[in-house]
Amino acid sequence: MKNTSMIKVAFGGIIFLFSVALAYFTANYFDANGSIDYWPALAAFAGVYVLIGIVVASVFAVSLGFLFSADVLILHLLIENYGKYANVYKATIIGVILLVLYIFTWLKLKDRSEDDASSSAASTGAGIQTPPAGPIQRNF
Amino acid sequence: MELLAIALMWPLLILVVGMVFISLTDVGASFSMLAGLFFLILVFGLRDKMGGGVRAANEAEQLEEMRRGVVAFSLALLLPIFVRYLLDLSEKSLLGMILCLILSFGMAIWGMFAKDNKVFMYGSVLGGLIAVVYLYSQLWSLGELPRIVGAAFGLAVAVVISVIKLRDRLT
Repeated sequence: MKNTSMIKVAFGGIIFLFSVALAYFTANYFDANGSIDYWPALAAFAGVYVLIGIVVASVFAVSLGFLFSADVLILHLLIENYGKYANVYKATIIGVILLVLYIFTWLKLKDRSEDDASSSAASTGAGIQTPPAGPIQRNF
Repeated sequence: MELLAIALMWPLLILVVGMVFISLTDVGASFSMLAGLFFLILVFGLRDKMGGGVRAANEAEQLEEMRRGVVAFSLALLLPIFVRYLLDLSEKSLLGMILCLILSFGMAIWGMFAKDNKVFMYGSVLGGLIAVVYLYSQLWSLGELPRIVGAAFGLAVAVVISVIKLRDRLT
């Protein structure tokens, strides 16, 4: 991995860790003070993080840091509260996810052909055999 | 826009996989263990088959194959969960059962005959079959009439598909 890639991963990780910590500490603080409940505060943080992730999509490290921390918050929220939802909401949530996945699969995940693979390999430099260095041996 | 799609893709896929495990735990905790095994098989074991028979040449293509496996896994498990919730919503009525059977058989058959899209094929066939097995297991407790309807429906689907798609040619 190149040095710049390592720095990007490191900064993305730092943003992820600090944003998760900020959300949990703030939600705890608000819950202890009685101003805002714990779960709504976490949900609000998740929403804000998703918005920030979308706004700064051109900077992958920052965007992914916020989006992954939103993932953690949303999944924690669902793990704790999903069982309490009515079946109508559960069916709606799963139905919407299924619909989005089917559309995505149908439009974007068609099988790759040999041409696609070879052009992809050529664009990244993989699979191209360079001639060996040194004198060229000829078989007469 | 494309940049946004690239940035959103993996967080969304991870959220969907998390959602699969959460809803499976809601349906029955023991299913999550099986789903974990299923995840490993689809995402790592059958990874080569998801790309349409073309082997990955570099890390980017390996990542794409993994993404295909994750999507197929999510489709295969979310469809039965959705069918289960629909059945619960209809309070296991005969009409609800028939609608769920149509949906499950429909997705499985659509997947069987889908061309140039292995992810859709694996996701739909596996999801449809798991949903059909679940529905037939539920039919047993509903009494005589639903059992007859279920058996007749399955038979009709099998015969119609065979006649349309598997007709032998003598010449």
